[in-house]
Amino acid sequence: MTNFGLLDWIIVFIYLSGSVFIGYQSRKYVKNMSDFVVAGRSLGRGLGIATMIGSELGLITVMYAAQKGLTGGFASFHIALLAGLVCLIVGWTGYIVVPLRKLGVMTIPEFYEKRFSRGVRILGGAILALSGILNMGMFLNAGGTFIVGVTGMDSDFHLKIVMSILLILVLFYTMLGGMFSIVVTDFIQFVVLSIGLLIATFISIKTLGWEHILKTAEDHYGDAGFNPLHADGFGIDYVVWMAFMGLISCAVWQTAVMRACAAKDTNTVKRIYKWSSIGFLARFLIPNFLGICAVVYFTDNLIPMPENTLQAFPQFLAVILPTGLLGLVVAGMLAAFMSTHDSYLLCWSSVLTEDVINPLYDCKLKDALRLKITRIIIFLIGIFLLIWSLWYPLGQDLWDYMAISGAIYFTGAFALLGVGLYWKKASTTGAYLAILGGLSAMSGLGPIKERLGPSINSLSSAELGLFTIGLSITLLILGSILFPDKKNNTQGAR
Amino acid sequence: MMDWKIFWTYFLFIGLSVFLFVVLKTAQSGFRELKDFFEKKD
Repeated sequence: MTNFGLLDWIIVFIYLSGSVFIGYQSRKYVKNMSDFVVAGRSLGRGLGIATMIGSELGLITVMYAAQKGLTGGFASFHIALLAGLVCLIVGWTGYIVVPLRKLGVMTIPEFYEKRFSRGVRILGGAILALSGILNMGMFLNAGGTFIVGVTGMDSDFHLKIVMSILLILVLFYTMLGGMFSIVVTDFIQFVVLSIGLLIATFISIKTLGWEHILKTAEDHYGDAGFNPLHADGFGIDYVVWMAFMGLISCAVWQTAVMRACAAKDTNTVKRIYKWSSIGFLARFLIPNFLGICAVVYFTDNLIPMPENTLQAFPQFLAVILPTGLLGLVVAGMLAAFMSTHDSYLLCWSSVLTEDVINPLYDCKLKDALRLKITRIIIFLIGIFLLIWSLWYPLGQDLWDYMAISGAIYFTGAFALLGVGLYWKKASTTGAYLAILGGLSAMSGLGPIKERLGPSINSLSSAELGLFTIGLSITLLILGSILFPDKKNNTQGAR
Repeated sequence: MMDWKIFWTYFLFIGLSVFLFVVLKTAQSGFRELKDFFEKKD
């Protein structure tokens, strides 16, 4: 059952055509690599916040956060609380992001070279790209699941066709416009999707009734659905892991850091982070809540919960929103999907070009050639994503997959940034060890975990993630003490 | 003992209100910046 009708299709078509047209038009502003990657470092506060939230409040975020709300109840709100709080603290203190902006780098591995060595940059860049590409591996699948669920299509074949069309659209305008097209489309999508989700929340509360939502959630989840520290629910290790994830998402994750690097100056960076903290909070809070509302709706109407819990949220939206508004929200979600996708494609392809390939050629590749290589890599990543989305058996909540695949990079990166930026004795050997230590996070991926036997399989993603952070930091400190740099390279250390 | 139900209720409604304010405020300033941005580029 769905309210998605002809009017909604028309709205979606007009909206998406407009986005692609803007992306196409933006190509004339791209003259060099800096224009392509950080929009010529010209973002002010308003656009900075909009693009930061626009990229992070994507369809994928909404899907996995709704799934988390659905499986965890109101207790899942702790993820929103911690994400907002940590981003606000980063905005106040400028922790990691201000020194990075001062260094004028475009990517985090570029900092690795300034602080440690070119080898650290190449290794860090390769692992960052590997982790980032794996991290976005399920994007197409989640996007396709959303469209199939919301429009009422029901076959696997439809899912594949939808995923392929989405990919072609995204590749088309990211390859042409780079960061300029992202800035414009992110801004439009940020406004439409934010308002759309707020209206969806209002309609859900009005239709289901606030007291009824609370009562049903209480019956469905029990105490663990409200108390995030409850042993039957998330538990303290998960909460600590989420606090760390909050820091990573805003201060270490390359796509967010790119926004800091694209800001006009360090004051703008701080302001963007302070204001964006509300966006980092809302991007979990609203979908978490809509996920809970989906449970209430399914329970009230005695509809069995879909086996793939990712499908519940789009199916709920399809019946709760009226025609017209549904089209606008779906268009906003699709635009969000494209904006997240293009940001990530741009991010990982530019990391591979700037931090792996160019340094391998002694940083002597010309601007035009680097731009061409970046565009080719965008295309190749796109093909990989299509294959991975069709093949990989998820076997865990999407959010947990995202967190653990991201951890392959960010546990090592956190050690290098969080410690390396502030501790002058951090050495190149320590940096290599910390980055390699982060690879152990791969053991948290569902299929790998199963193969590693019961002792690893019994550990949660949160436990494995926290272990990897501890390991990376320890390796950095031990490596730096045991193998200090002969020449003291402290550029970038405060 | 903390009443999580009340805490999350306030958290949700305050969070939604502040988010609405930020969206409207950002939309306003972002639109202005976008206009300037492309005028300058042209």
